[in-house]
Amino acid sequence: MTKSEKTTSYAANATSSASSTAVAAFRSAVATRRATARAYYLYGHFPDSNSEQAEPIKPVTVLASNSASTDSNYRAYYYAALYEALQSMAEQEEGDALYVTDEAANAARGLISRLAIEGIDPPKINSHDKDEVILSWAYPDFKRYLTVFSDDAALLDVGTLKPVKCVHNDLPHFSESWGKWSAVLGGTASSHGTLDDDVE
Amino acid sequence: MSSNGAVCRLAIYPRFLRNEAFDSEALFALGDLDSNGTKGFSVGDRDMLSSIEDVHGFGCRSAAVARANERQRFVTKNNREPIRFQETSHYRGFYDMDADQVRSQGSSIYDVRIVPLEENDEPAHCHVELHVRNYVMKPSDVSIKRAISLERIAILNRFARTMSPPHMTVCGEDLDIAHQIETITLPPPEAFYSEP
Repeated sequence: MTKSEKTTSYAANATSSASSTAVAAFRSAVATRRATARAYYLYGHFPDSNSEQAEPIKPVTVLASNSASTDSNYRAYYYAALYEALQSMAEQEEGDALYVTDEAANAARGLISRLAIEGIDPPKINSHDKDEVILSWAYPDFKRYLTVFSDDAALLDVGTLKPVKCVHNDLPHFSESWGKWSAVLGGTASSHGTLDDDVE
Repeated sequence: MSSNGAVCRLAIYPRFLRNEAFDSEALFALGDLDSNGTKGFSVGDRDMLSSIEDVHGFGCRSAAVARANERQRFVTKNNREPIRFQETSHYRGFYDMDADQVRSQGSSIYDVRIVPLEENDEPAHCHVELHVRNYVMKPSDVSIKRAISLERIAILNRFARTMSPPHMTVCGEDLDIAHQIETITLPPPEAFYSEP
């Protein structure tokens, strides 16, 4: 177990894929998040406990007859929206708050493609600086932020109930080992190879 | 501003933000205030905007200024007028934030200040500013670059926790597209740090 896993349960939840309970917890987190995202997409607002009964969550598509392909339709839909959002950020005027440079946008595109290939749930997108794209995922216990620079990345988890932080300082420089990043992000890099060889 | 005051954070929706791929936190975008890494966003001083209607008036005027600036750029670029709602920015409402709590979110990297700054004849206009502290080196070093970015994210995450539930409205000049603007619902503050 690495140092960061000892100090925080957030990291343990997301990284210890060998443990079946952690996998179940992760899948349940993804399902919850998808249901909320789906409701937000359908109704334009976040469901609260009172309105959930009045507005049942319906599937977006009837094309797929099993849940696995419905999930992959979702994923494709959200990844397409993500590329479109990134494009609109790169097209903003320099000086606009959400403008990002071509270098930052290209780095983010590359990373987003890797996430899509590895079947990682699509993140949300944001930016605080023209040289940085921020990807985020919300889980029941924490929100995860991944900053993508043109040549590196940085990962932060912040607790939902309290703003307890876990900065993943132990991750290598992004260009050195995608495998380690992929493992933390919940990817399956080892099962079907990586886009480039890891330096281990 | 009194020490126990509040500031209001306006929610003005630019067209492209309605893509659901954006994190709801993107609604409050940080701008560059100088070349030293100072970042910030605009707020209103609630000591000067005492009623909800005062804030909505400030919000509608701010959105009108934003639209006028965007229109100029849009017409130059596309040689036509923007389509209302689909291609324009609109005020939807605001969130109050406790001023003392905002100021106390600074860290070893960032100093957080609320700075009154009259703009467009709006005396209540202020900036919430994130100043990189003097002893923090320039972000040439990889670990410092990572640390500065993550600290900024963490501070904004904590800002969301100082927010009160939103007040929503449709501006008088937007009544013709009220049915479209009303499809946008401002999420509760907790959505910014706990929901997708």
